[in-house]
Order: sequence, then C-alpha cells, then structure tokens
Amino acid sequence: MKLADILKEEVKNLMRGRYSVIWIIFCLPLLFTVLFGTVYQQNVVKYVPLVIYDQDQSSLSRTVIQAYGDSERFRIVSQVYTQEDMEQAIYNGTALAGLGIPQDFSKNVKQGTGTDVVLIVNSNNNMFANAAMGAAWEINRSVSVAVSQKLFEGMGQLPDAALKMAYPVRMGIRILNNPTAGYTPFMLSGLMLNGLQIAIMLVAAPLFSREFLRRQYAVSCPAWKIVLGKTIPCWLAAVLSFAICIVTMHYFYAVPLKGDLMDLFVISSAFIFFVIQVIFLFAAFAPNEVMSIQLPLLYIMPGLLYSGLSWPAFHMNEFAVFFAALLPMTYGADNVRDLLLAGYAPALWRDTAYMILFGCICSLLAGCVLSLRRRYTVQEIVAKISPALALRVGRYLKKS
Amino acid sequence: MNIWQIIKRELKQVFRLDVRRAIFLFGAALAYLILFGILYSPHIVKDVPFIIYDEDQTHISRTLVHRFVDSESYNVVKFVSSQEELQQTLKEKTAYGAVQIPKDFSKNVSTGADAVVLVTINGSNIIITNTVSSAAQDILAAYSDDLATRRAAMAIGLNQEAAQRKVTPVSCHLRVLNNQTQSYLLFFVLALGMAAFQQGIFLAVGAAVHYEYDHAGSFEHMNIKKLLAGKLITYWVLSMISFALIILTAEGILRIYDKAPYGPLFLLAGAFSFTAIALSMMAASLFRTELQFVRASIMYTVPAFIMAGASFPLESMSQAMVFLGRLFPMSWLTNSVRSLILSGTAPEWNADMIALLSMGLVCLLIGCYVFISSIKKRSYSAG
Repeated sequence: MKLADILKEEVKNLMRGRYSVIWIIFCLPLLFTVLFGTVYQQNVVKYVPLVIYDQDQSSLSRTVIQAYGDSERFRIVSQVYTQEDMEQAIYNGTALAGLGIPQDFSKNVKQGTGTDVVLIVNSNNNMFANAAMGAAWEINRSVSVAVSQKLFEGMGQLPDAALKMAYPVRMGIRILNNPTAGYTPFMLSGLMLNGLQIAIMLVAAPLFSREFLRRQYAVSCPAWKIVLGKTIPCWLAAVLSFAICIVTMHYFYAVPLKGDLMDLFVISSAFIFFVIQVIFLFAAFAPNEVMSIQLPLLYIMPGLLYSGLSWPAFHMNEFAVFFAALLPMTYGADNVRDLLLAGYAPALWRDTAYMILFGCICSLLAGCVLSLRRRYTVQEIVAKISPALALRVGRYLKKS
Repeated sequence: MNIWQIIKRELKQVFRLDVRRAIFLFGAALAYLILFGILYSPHIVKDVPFIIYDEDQTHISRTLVHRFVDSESYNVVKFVSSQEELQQTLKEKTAYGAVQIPKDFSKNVSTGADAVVLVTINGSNIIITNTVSSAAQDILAAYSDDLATRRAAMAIGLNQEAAQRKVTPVSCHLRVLNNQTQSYLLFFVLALGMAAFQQGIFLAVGAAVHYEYDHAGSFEHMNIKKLLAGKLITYWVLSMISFALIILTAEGILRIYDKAPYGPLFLLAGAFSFTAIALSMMAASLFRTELQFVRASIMYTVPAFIMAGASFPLESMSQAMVFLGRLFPMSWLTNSVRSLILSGTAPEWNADMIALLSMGLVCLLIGCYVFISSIKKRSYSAG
C-alpha cells in the first residue's frame, strides 16, 4: 500500500461520522484561548474588598484611607468600629483585607514617636494576598515618606531637601516582556498549548489504537508507513490550529507577538510532533480505544504546571526536574511564551532538537509495538515471554 | 435483584471486573496530590538567579550589594561589568533579575542628590516578578531608611532612635491569615486534588453507565430505577472514602495543617460527590459510546478548574464569566474546602450546599430519564 493511500484513509478516519474528531483539534485549543482569555480579561487582580477600622478619625487617618480608596487594587466595602467587627468581616468573607489605624495615630506622627497601621490579609487565595500586600506596601511607603518629609520641613528643612532626607535612595523598576505583570501574557499561551496537547491526545490516541482492533491495513504494510500516515494529517491540523490560536490571542486578547513567525512555526511543529509520537507510544500499549486516552492522562494533564511556565524550573526538586524533562510542555510552553513576549527564546533550537529526538524515539518504539501487535495478539506476545502469565492475561481479557 | 444485590454487583465490577474504576476513584486525586505535592514542596519561590551590576564600586555601594547577596530571595549568579553583559545575561535567561547601582551612587547619596537604583526583571513569569520586586523593595527601603536615619541624626542633631522615627513615622504591621507564608502547596495542591477527585468520579461513573449500555440486553431481571439507585449509593460511598483518603494524605504526607471541622467538610464533600455522580450519570447517558464520554470529560477538566476560581479568583472575573463559572460544581467546592482546611471556616458553606444539592438533583432527574430511555431503546434493538 502506498503512503498516499494510507494518508487518504487516515484523513477519512479523522473526518468520519456526524461529529468528526478533527474538529477537536481546531475547537479545543481555540475554546481554551477564548474562554481563558475572557476569564483573564481584567489581567491583574484588582478591587480587593477592604474593611477599614479607623480608631483615630483624624484628617491624617482619612488621608491614609483615601490613599487606599484611590488605589484600584482595593475596594473599600465597609468601615467598622471595633477590632472584632473587622476580624469578623474577614472571617465571614465580606472583606479579604482589613486596615486598622490606631487611636493616637495622628498625635504620634506629629510628636515624632512613630506609629503602626495594621493590615490583615486573608491568604486563602495567594493571588488576593499578593495583590493586597504589594499595593499596601506601596501606599504605606508613600504615606510614610510624605509624613517624614513634613516632619523634616517642620524642623527647618526646605521641601526638596526634606524629601531627600526622608527618602535618599529610590528604586527604579523595569519589568521586561510583561510590564503590567498581567495574567493574560503570563498564562494564556501556555493554556492554549495545553489545550492543543489534550486535543491531540483525544484524537491521535484512538486513531492509533483502532489499528489493533480493526486492522485497516494488510499485515504486509510496513509499520513506519502507518505511523507516518497517521502522523501527517494530525500534525498538519494541529499546526494550523496553533496558528489560528496565536492570531486569536494577538488580535483579540492583546498578547504581544514579537517573535519571528518562522521561529514560532519551528517550535510548534516540533512540539506537536513530539506530542503525537508520545501519544502513539501510549496508545500502542493500550488494550482499546478508551484506554488509549486514559493511559496518558497522568502524563499529559500535569504538563502545564510542571513545564516551568508558572512554578520556575530553577526551584524544582530533583524528581520534579526529572519528571518535567519527560514532558513536551517543558520544551514547548516557555519557548512559545518567550517568542511572543520577548521576541526571542534562548533555548529555541536546543529544545526543538530535544523534541524532535524524543519524538523520533517514541515513534520508533510505537512502530515496533504496532508491528508486533498487528501480527500477534497480546496473549501471544506475553506467551513468548511467560506462558503462565499469558494464561492469566487471557483470563483477565476474557473477564473484562 | 434488590438494592443490596445491585450494590454487590457494582462493587464486583469496580474491584474485580473493571479495576480501572477503582483506580480512577481512589488513584486520581492521590496521584495529583503526591505529584503536585512534590512540585510545590519548596512552598514559595526563592533563590531567583540574579545579577549585580555595580558601576559605583565604593564602600557605600558594596554595603547595598551585600544586602542583595544575603537575601534568600536571590541567588546571585554573576557580577557583570557592563550594561551589554547585563542585558545579554537576562536575555539568555541565566538570570531573571538584575540590580544596577549607578556610577555616582555614593556621591549622590553623600551630597543628598537623587540616588536611584535600577532593578530590572524578566517579567514573563509573574511569580518570579513578584518575588524579585517585593524583595528588592524591602531591601532598598530598609537601606534607604538606615541611610536617612544616619543623615538625619547628623544633620539635625537627633539621636539614632529619634531620627529613625522621623524617617519612618508610619510603619505597617502585617498579619497574614490562614496561609502565612503564602505557600503554593497550601494554595494550589488541594484545589488540584479536588479537580482530580472530580475527574476520577466522572471516569468511573461513565464506565459504569456504559457497561450497562453495552449489556442492555440483560435487563429482564432488574428494575432500572433500582439499578440507578444502587449505582448512586455505591459510587457515593466509594467517593466519600476517596475523599477521606485525600484528607488523610493532605494531613499525613503533605503536612497540610487541617483546621477544618470534619462535619461541614464531609457534608460539603458529600454534596459535591452526589452532584458529580449525578452530572457524570447524565453526561455519560447522553453519549453513545464510552469513548465519546471520556473525550468530553477530559475536555471539561481544565475549564472546570480555571472557572472555579481556584487560581485566578472569581471576584476578579467579569459578571458573565462568574455566571458561567458558577455552572461548574467545582466552583461551589474548591474555595470552600480550601477555606475550611486553612481557616476552619467557609463563609459561603450554606450557599455551596444548596447550589450543589440543587444541581445534583436536576442532573439526577435528567440523567435517570435519559438513561432509562436509552436502555429501553438499546434493549429493544438488542432483543
């Protein structure tokens, strides 16, 4: 059988039925892009509900409260009059942060004796706590420096000198690639890529394992041709789907597209090739189509979080580094994000080479298993190793 | 067949005939807890590879450099000697952040002119951005305050303590409740465990429903409603045992200190298990083959996790997204379980219970209807 004939058959397999499976490759990554792009539309965590307990009720304390009210990170939800009420508001979920200003706040500041404001943060969700603490730090620092400046002015310093006396070393900050520290540029490309690899798994795994059950091609047809024939249509569809998602992210969700399109094509092609081959390898060991999807679940699903995209690779322990090294997302996700946000990816060629190499190894192994399983049943293969085990396998297969 | 016989039949299927179901029910969440427990075992991100570019090379600049070197947030991997080298190192991702102390830093500090220290961060990963920027803010603020205190003491003739109070007249006392160290293990792993718990229920119940579809011809001796009740009871009890194992693993292996009162925690888990079983019964009944159902349930996993507000909070999503998120049972479970375990309370517990039970009831009714009519159709075509 010619490769072209196998390709035709495989395209038919992908398009067959009322709900042809090829749509999964196009729709799932696009759904992830649109859905999560819309979820992260606000980009950063804002409007953390804040409860105020102002014991001082002075003009200075009101200035502090106004600074919190003016910040878009906070939304003042209530003012309370006891410490218990403030804590209660946090415990019952009305607020996620509480600002307490002590009774002699203004007096202590004027007398130069120093004073504390109290910020209580509910850290059940780190995202809220991070946003609240970061913003509170900046507001408190600004208030403290402004008050300090006034104190030095009161001691005969000119305003400018007083400011420099209060705040001699300033910090300039330059955040490259994602200046607003937004969630969309941070996660969307990774989630899309995760959707793509899940889609490939859902389509490619049954496509491969059906060959054991339905024997579409003659035994004389070489396994490499079948593997190649099954790879090419999936790969083409996935590359096209990747391109559609990148365009959607860029034009609808304002994710920058700074990198070279050819680099993006190279990394996505290698990633998709690796995913397809590793899924084929899992499917080669699966007893049926359903199991061909279920077997790689624990390998594919943690890919996003193990990829170093969020929890950085330099702070993983040895097991995590080892497990991450086996996953396609580790080599794909960070490079795609770098290309989009920074315009370059220092590990592009190294990771592309790894993915092609791992893909080829998986392809070879999957081809070998395919070749064996097309000639012999599972029981026959096991019998060559251990006849006793083959009997037990036979009983199990019969039962299930 | 009475209910007890149906339960025994179901248990035989779960533990002997189709062991996959037991693996999904008990293994999925445990595997996730262990896998992500290992990943997040350092709890917080520290030791960010960092570079220092000290153009000033004076005693004053070196005291600042020492503070960066001593910080556990940074792992200073290189001292660079030019702007180009700094940029190149960041570009190669050998380091994720850099501090640049300008040439006239000590002179400016001594003369009271503007002294700005520039911190550059590779912002692609916001977890790294947060770690680097907050540590740099703390270091530079403390350094600035120390310097200001010394200068004020000399210039105005105050003692150190009085000068310090003038320099930092307002300080902030921070109290972080429930997850004091901002640990990712506490924040994330439980939520991921809940997602896997749900997936385990889906795949097991889906397999159970499709087993009946595949054996639709053998229903003469069985009341279908009793069969469904038997399945519901079996899988509910098994999923509660699975939940108990999750809690034991979280406490015993991951050392997540559990403040939760067990009553509300297990009631909530019970309501969720009921809803998840009913939802999977309904969904599995709608699909013609198990393969189609498995595909759909895997597609559902990631959106269900994200839309539940387990990472990016629901409160920061648009109204439409919150509405959509609330259609996922996970959104009524994850945050409350986390809140119960970390703080001992869950303010939305009542609402969660009502929502979960209502959803579960609706799904169960639809699921029963679809299942019974499908079984009848299949029995007819089989017989």
